[in-house]
Amino acid sequence: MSFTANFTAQQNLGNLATLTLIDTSTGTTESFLTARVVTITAANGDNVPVSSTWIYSSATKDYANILKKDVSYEIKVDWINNAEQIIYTKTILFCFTGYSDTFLLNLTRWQTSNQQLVNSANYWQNKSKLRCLVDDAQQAVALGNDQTASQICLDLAKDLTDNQENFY
Amino acid sequence: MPFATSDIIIWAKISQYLSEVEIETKYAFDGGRKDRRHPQILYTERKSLEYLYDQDPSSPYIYEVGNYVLALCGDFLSRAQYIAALGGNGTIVNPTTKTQASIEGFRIEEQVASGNTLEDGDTSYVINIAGIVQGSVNVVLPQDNIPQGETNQFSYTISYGTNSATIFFLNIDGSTNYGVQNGMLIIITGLKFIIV
Repeated sequence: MSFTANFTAQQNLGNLATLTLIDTSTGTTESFLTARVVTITAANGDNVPVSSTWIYSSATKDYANILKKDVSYEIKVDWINNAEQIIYTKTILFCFTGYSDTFLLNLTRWQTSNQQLVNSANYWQNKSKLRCLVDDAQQAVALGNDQTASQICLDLAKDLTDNQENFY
Repeated sequence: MPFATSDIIIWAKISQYLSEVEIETKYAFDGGRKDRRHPQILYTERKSLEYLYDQDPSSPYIYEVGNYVLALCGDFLSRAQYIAALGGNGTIVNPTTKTQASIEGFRIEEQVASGNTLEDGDTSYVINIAGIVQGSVNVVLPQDNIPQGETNQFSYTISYGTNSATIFFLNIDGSTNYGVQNGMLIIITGLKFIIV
């Protein structure tokens, strides 16, 4: 079976700032491939600096302190050979919402011991708004492949999580 | 906690739908839900539970969050559990008997000849099949069996009953219906419900 380059990215609950890339390529392993070069682009067009190339023999790669807030990143992986020629390339848009999801989870845990919180002034309205923004950000990527719209939603969500004393 | 988190997530999804339906169909003073935010609350808290479950199924917090979502399902829980337990594929129901059924095709071949079920000149034919599906019967007359010398257009109509269908053959010349003719091979196909 011919080689089909692919990868996925995930954010871990244990360390939300760490981005993990996983090679999910299928087909016969190409012996002449030596490494992968990762390029991450933010919604404003800036390149996010990544520490090193990803050697081909390793199926996963962790990048620490990349996800400092919820972001939509376009991640490009180039599979290269000895001569550093790009043999395969794959670009995928990802939406990372771990910070907002964790915040929502903590609000839910707070409610478990105080179920009348949903009736507090503005509490439910703002929690619901936060949930909606996170869903919108994810759908902007999943359905619309729209990095800008996704990041706008995430930035609005960040405002709701950063100023919790005003909203909950 | 007696229930698996994956089950709670499924029940919460179904309860959310049931709650939505109740709000749409009942007024607050007619047994309907008074808090119209209920489906939205259920959705939001279920999403949090899903996030926690995806990230760490053995989290020490999963019980409290799971129990909270379970409590939010409230009186929809038993119905949600029942619906979830039905599972599997959808089933076909015979609308006449209201019982679960499957559908099966049938095929009948009748040669028009003296002494056979269909004889020369017959203008109708009754199919006695229990659970015959309305509108499913088709009559085929293979061309090489059409008798020579007939210039009339041969056609048919069908009347359906609960457990039968009657085919009326129309082979009209002027005011005379000649019906089927010797040598014709009539092929009848259709569908019927069968008990499973």
